[in-house]
Amino acid sequence: MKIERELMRGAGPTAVMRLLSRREMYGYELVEALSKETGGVLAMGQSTLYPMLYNLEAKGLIEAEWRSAESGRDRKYYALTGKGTKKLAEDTESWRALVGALASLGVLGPASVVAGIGGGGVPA
Amino acid sequence: MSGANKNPRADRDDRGEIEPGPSADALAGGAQKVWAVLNTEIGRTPRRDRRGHRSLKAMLDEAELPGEVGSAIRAIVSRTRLWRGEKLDVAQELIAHARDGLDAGTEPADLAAAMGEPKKVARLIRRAMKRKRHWTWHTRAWLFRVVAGTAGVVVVVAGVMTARFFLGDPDPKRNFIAEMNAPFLGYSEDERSWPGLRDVNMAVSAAAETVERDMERRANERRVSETLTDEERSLEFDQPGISIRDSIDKRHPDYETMVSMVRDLQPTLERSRELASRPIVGMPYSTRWPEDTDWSSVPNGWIEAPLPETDDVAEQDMLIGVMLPWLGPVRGQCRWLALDARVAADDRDAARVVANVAAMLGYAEQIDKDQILISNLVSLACTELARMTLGRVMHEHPGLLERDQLVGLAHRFGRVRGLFDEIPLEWETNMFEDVLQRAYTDDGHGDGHLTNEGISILSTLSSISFSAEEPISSTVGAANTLFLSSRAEQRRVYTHAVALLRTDESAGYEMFRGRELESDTWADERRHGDGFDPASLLLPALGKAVATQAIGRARIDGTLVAIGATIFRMDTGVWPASVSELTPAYLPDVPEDPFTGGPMRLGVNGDGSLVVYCVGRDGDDDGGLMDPSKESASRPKANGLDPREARYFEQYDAVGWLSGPAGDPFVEAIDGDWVLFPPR
Repeated sequence: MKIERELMRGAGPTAVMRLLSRREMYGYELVEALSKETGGVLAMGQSTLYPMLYNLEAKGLIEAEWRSAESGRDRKYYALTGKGTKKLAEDTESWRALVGALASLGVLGPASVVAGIGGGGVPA
Repeated sequence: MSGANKNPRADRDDRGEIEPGPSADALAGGAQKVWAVLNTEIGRTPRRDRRGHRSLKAMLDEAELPGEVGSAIRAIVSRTRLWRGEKLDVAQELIAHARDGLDAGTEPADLAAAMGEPKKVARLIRRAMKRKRHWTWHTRAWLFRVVAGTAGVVVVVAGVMTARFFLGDPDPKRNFIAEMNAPFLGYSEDERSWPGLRDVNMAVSAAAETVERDMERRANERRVSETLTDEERSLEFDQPGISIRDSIDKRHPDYETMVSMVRDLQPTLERSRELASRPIVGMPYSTRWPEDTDWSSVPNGWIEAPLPETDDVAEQDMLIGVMLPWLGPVRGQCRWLALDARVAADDRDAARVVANVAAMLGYAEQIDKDQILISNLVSLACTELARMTLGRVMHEHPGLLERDQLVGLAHRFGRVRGLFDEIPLEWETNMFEDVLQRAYTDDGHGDGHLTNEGISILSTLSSISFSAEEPISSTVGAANTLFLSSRAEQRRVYTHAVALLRTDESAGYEMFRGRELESDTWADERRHGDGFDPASLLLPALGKAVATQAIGRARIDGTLVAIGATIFRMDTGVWPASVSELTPAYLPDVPEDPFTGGPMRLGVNGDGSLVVYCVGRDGDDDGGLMDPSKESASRPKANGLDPREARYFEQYDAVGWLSGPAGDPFVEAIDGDWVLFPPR
């Protein structure tokens, strides 16, 4: 399924921050995770991912560090910052409200059903 | 994680492995040795440019990615136009990403496709990477944008205005000269004082020429000999009598010569009095004169015929250059008529006195028909001369003028007074409009912009020179002009200034009681402009003209009071006790004292003569006495004053207002009344 560009622009950063809230990840890992964990809905290539990562970094929501993997390969690992954690919490609430509103309109089905979407919550 | 986005291994080989070299078969022995050396850790040290910086090409070469993937990364990174370190950082990350993809079994073509359209991706990456830069860089970037943007706007605006400035042409349409002449076309020759005025003026000038030279020579001899007493000097012995003919003292050494001249000129003066009774001067208004006119040889009071004005407005000179050559001669005639009135009084010829005073007022009315400020001021000067002449005669020759003669003169003064109720601005405004139509373009709706030709006109009117021979001043002038307002804006400014002037006029005598003249304040502020401002150039400070008119009106009122009181005395045998006693039989209204707003005053001197006065600048009633000499400014030494200072008092009485600013100790020390009758 192809997501509208504007929707992706809003959902992408939240999705990336959500993934980084679990652990540090490098670019390719993020691409893979986004594709697998969203059933391809939020899949994105390098052309979208890296500008997004640099923007999040510029805003201080994530930070990056070059590090050698066990294989000896250098990779740039990204991690969520404190500011990013707070932003993720806010975005999550916004998305919940949005989904709830759409559900109320019947776009997503009963609100009580869709309330569970994204129920993974925000890490402490 | 430190948070620092450093790439400590950017110079290292990515995989840390020795790549298998070409087969031994592929290389000859020597070449194989070279390859072996190059393929060591030392040999695999990333290549750097001449300045020791690692290059993108070297990094991609070392990554040994499939061709399409490497090309995609190169295309993206090279288009980002980022700093070298930023580019390498991005390249390093994209290379790592590609290797991870290849390791995961992704096809190179798919990987390259996933990189996206290079130009678009490079733009996204460039924007994002720039956001990561240090705040000082962003500050510099913003400052640069602001400066560059401002400079750009200035350049564009200047360019547009310069283009407008050089491309536009004025298109003058209104023939103001024709409009100016139109009201007088219907008058016959008998109703015009010109060209008769030219004849009498030339006759008087010719008669005076020889006498004037002799008088000037004698005055110079008197000055050089330094034999003049203070009293003689105060009586103008050190000036040729002909220069002060309207106020010359009988004791002046030239007096008898002057009287003799006047008697000889009687036929000419009789002709002048007749000409003064006509309604208009009638000489055509024009800006064109014979090119061969030798102005240096033109005698004083010259009047000649102008050349007919062309109907082609564009070929006409500016209206502001219109010639008014009759003003000087008319004033000259009035001075001869004033002297003749005094001589006539000595001769007990009341009819000639009246005729001379009436002629002066006639000339005043004639030239005021110009409806131009300068003409109005000369008209006031003629009226003032008539007022002083009549006052002297009434004071020095009581009983000479008969009742009917005084009544007739009162009516004439009353009529002339109306000329000075307000400053005539119709033609001043038309002169301004003429400058606009010759200096500005015309969009057909009353607006336009200044032209190259307009700059020349304005520089002619101002003190700033502008010529191709003076490029610096020309450039400065042009630069100033770029920021000048439009034709409509100039008209709005001018209209505003005129409104201020009318406000000042409508305030009447309040200026005598401390009210600031708004038109003067406006002119002072505009004067600090760039010198090319038509509105301020053509509408200078007119506050002094407003004051001059106000003083003139009060002085005429004083004369009307004196005439009324004299007739009152003829009827009753006594002077009136106050001005109010004259109304309504002898005076329609009680004139206002400009300094108090109350009634003008009168009194009787010790010798039984009449005095009409206002309280003057000091605000208190001194009984009609003028400070400092009280009785006579002709004895200044006795009062400790320099004769010149005494003249100051004589000229301005207790007004002190015209030439003496507030705070001036000399002016502030004035203690006395403003005596309107008898005139000094």
